[in-house]
Amino acid sequence: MNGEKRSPAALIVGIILLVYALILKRHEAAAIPGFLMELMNYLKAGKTVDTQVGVGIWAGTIISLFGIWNLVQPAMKSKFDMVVRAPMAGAGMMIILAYLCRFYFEPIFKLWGKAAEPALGFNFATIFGLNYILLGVLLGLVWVNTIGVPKWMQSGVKTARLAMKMGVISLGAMYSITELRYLGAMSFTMITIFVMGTAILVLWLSQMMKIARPLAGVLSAGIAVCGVSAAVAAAPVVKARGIDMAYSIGMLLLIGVVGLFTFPPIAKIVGMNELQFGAWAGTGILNSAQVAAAALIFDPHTIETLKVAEIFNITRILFLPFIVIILAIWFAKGEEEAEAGKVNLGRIIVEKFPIFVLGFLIMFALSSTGVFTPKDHVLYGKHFYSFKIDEKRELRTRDLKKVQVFIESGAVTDPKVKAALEKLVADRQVTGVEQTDLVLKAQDFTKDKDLKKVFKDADKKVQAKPKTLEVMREYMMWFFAFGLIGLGMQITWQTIRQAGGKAATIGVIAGITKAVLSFFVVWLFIKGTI
Amino acid sequence: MKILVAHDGSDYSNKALKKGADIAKKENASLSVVNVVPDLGFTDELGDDYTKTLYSTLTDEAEKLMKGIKDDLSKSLQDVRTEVRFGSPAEIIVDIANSEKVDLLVVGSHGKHGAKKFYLGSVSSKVISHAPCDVLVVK
Repeated sequence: MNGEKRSPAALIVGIILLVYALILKRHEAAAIPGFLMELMNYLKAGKTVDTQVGVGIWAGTIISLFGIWNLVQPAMKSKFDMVVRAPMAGAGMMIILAYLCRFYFEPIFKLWGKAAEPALGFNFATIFGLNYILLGVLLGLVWVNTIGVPKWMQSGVKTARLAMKMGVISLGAMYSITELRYLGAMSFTMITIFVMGTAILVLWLSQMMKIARPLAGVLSAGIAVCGVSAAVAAAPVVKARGIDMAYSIGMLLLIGVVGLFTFPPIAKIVGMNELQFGAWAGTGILNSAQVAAAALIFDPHTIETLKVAEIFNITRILFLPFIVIILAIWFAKGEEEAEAGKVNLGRIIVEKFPIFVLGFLIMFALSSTGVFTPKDHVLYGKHFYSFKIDEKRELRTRDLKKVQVFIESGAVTDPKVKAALEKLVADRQVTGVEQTDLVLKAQDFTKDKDLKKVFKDADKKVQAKPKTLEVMREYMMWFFAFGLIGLGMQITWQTIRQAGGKAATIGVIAGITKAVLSFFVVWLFIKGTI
Repeated sequence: MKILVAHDGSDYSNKALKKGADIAKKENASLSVVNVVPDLGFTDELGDDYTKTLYSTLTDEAEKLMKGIKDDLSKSLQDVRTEVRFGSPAEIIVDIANSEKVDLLVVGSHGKHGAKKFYLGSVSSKVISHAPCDVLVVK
């Protein structure tokens, strides 16, 4: 007996992906002139054809096979069916949407932005960050609020959450120890101040406006820590009613959405760098997924901003158990019978510890042991380097001569820089991390543009791109793109309109205060780059 | 005669309930009270556990409320039934009115949710336009 109908949805979606990829592959291989290749050229998407074909064939084949299975035997209630087979159709549809955003909509807006620049005086596509991430969120948002998510897609849309977590876990492999230490210390300081500050502000405002304590508690956790999940996590200890949770979720989602769309353009206009924006978004935006979205909207093609923002986000999530405890104590104080004794800090920390953070740390640990990188690669600052003596890494004789002349001119006053340059001339290439810094520093001693370029080249030539990590990065971006379309699909008017009353006032005041203050703190105190 | 009252715990719905009960007494009619736990949409950011926490809290509260109402009204009325459902409030109310061949539907003019004029206000207007029977909107 089964209540489920045999659904052809997954098979159809799979075949669409597969057919598209195969046609594209055939056209490209045979260089068939025609609409498709012309379109690719017009969109300047030539470089992405390989990815389009590769991902299309893989995903299309897998989804089609599951589609056949789902057609022959409907997905039942077993765990495997629920987790793997049922979501296939919706997940495939989201891959198609991600394709559209990444390979069609983004290039189109890029062209339009450029075309409209003379008339507008600015490139609207760059300022508003109309890249595939933002377009994906928007597409999801519009989709769910107009046609809605059809039944066959629903379980697929739910995998977005998992995809985001997979994305963050893989991101763990992209940090160096220096980076993590630096960012960790910075985020710990900022997050401590802002989480505590916001929590106190919300509780104070609630008292001023005479809001019931359960609602105040839920709001303060939500606005101070990490959005809707924090609000619900705190609900039991402050004995919140269902309606308090519903109010707060609506409120938090609303503030989050506004932040998600306003943070990136503001940062572009004032000219923030990756570190600054990552810190700001990680502190000021409420929901985890929205932090990642904002970071990627700001900077979709490298992962520098995302790396900063996620460290801030993870730090904040780790604060959740402490806030829950503090709220429990605060709440018990106002109650007749003291219940603080019943809350066990250890248990809450274990229960609320997000598993994906563990995954993130494991990836980081693995990556630091060097399993993802060839032996001669070292991660230094933002880049990987390989210093093995190799012709590819050598500077041209002409350039080396220029450096020699420069050393002899006596313009370099720093003996360390001088020594590094001498070694560069002797080895014909850079051979160590400290030397890269010193060679780059040599730029300060000259005004000659060509010479500056030689020093930059010397650094660039020893940079390396470890293949495994590059592939991982590509997959990670797909996880995020996929997850963020799902994020857009969670932003329903139905949920947002729950927000209201005094809770909304407090939410707006506290949310804006947090966003504005964190902006100024970042702007004034965080300088430089990663 | 069958009367259905939509109740969400708000003051308006208390008024509607009182009115419905009065009519039921006069007409010797049967009275059903339904509380719809609203589907809040795709809040998947929450994850399954938290979603469960949220909806189970809402459902528990609704059931407690309905039980109180039933105990209270049973003293004065013969035929009282209460029900808790989950979904889109307007749709479910209209659905029950259809399936149980209700003669009169009683609703409050506003709900208890935040943005009142959008939310249950819109529920009563939706109910009015889709209900198969007469609708009494209590102010």
